[in-house]
Amino acid sequence: MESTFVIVTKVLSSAAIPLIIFTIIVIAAIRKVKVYEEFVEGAKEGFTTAVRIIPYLVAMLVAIGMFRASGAMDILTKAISPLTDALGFPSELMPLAIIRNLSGSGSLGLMTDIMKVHGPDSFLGRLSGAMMGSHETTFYVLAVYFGSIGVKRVRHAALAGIFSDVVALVMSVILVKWLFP
Amino acid sequence: MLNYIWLGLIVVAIFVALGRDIREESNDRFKNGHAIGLEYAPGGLKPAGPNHFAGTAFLTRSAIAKLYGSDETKGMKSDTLLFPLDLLQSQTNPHVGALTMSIPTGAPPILADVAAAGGDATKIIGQARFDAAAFSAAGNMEFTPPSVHFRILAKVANDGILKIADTAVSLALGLIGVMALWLGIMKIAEAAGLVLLLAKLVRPIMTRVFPDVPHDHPAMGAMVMNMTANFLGLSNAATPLGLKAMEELNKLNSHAGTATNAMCMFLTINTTALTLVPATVIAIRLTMGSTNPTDIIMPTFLATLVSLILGVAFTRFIQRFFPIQGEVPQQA
Repeated sequence: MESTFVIVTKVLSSAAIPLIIFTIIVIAAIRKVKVYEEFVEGAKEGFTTAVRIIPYLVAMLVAIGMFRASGAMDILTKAISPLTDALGFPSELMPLAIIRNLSGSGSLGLMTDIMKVHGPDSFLGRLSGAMMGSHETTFYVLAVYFGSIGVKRVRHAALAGIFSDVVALVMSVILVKWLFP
Repeated sequence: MLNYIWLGLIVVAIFVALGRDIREESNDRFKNGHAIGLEYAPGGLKPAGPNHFAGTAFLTRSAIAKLYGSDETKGMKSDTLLFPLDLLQSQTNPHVGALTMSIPTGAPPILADVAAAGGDATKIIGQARFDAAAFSAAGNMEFTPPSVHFRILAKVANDGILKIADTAVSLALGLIGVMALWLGIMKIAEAAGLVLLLAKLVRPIMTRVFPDVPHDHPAMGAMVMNMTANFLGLSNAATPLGLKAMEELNKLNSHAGTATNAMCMFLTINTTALTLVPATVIAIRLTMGSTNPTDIIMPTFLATLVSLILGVAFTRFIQRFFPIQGEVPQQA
């Protein structure tokens, strides 16, 4: 049985994009904007923006790819597991916590795997979902956003991003433990 | 900072790969050049053409332990490993041939590693010595897998470097369509004055978080649009709008190539990913048979809210320690 909330969520997620586009275009038309011409004018930038981020994306993803392929990721996970165990963080989720910042598809695969093994309604299943939903692939965002405008010196952005991710991680553990005792 | 992270990832990766490879070489983990004993049942191998046999054979736990050591058999679930094989007999010497062993599930990791090192993780192609006349009865044959050297460095080169470089480009090119669409829609919204309207609504908050950005600057509108898209879980729309916002923020940048305070703040807000509905997670939990897939909305939302607030405060606090090069840091 699907609750009303699930249904509303589903309707919203499938209707949101068409509705937003519809609203914007209709209001613009009423305000006598030349919608077609404006759209084409804006869309022109799509190609150049996408191409501009390629070098930054290659640089970042290759470094992360090498790190994972060499097995250094697994060693890192094992090395810090005593620390996380002491803090009450389940060691099964350590790889997810690290990869979540590096690769979106990689972490999605890990989360699916954890839910498959432990069940989506278990503590680990819920926590992996909350971690997945409350984190962003920080390094991808850094590479793409700064890459698009050619910024190479990112100053405190990386540190601030990592800080927010750690806060989200700690909060996920606390909240899932508290809300689903 | 990114310089160090980038360098660190690559240097550590190479050192770890090299270290593991050297350890495997010095232990001779793969027993290069040595043969393992395969066994077959009566009628297990049948002629499949001239000089060609196919069928199934098996490896026992003790045969694997004899060659590779008993540690390597720990991953085996049963004592025998049944697998399909394909045998091409040499035209000049009927007792030797090329043997293709398909790796079944439940194979010990060492066999999977040998296969992966050969380029195809599903099979091992090596040399076999056998007596084809005896295939009607049970028997065994010697199988020499290909030698394996520096497999982890090779894996880093293939999976970590070449494949990923390719992926990165297709990822970027794959963005073109969605990017064009949302930048087009954004342009319409801008021309209709909608972006400005949205920016006006949240002006009190935005001017406090971004004190360096004039309240009527187009960057404000673009950032608000990006945050709205993120909040609604429309990640497809969020990236193009975010890139647009960065472009606008860069127009206020007097040091090309260096991030401004406003850019770092915007990035922090983006990485905290304040989302009302984490749609992907809910969809996956639904397919896994969760009784209430949306029950993670609350913890997710609260966790991101806290990380957003603390992240913004932290970013504001540390920006003074990262002065823009060539400028005296501002006294707080």
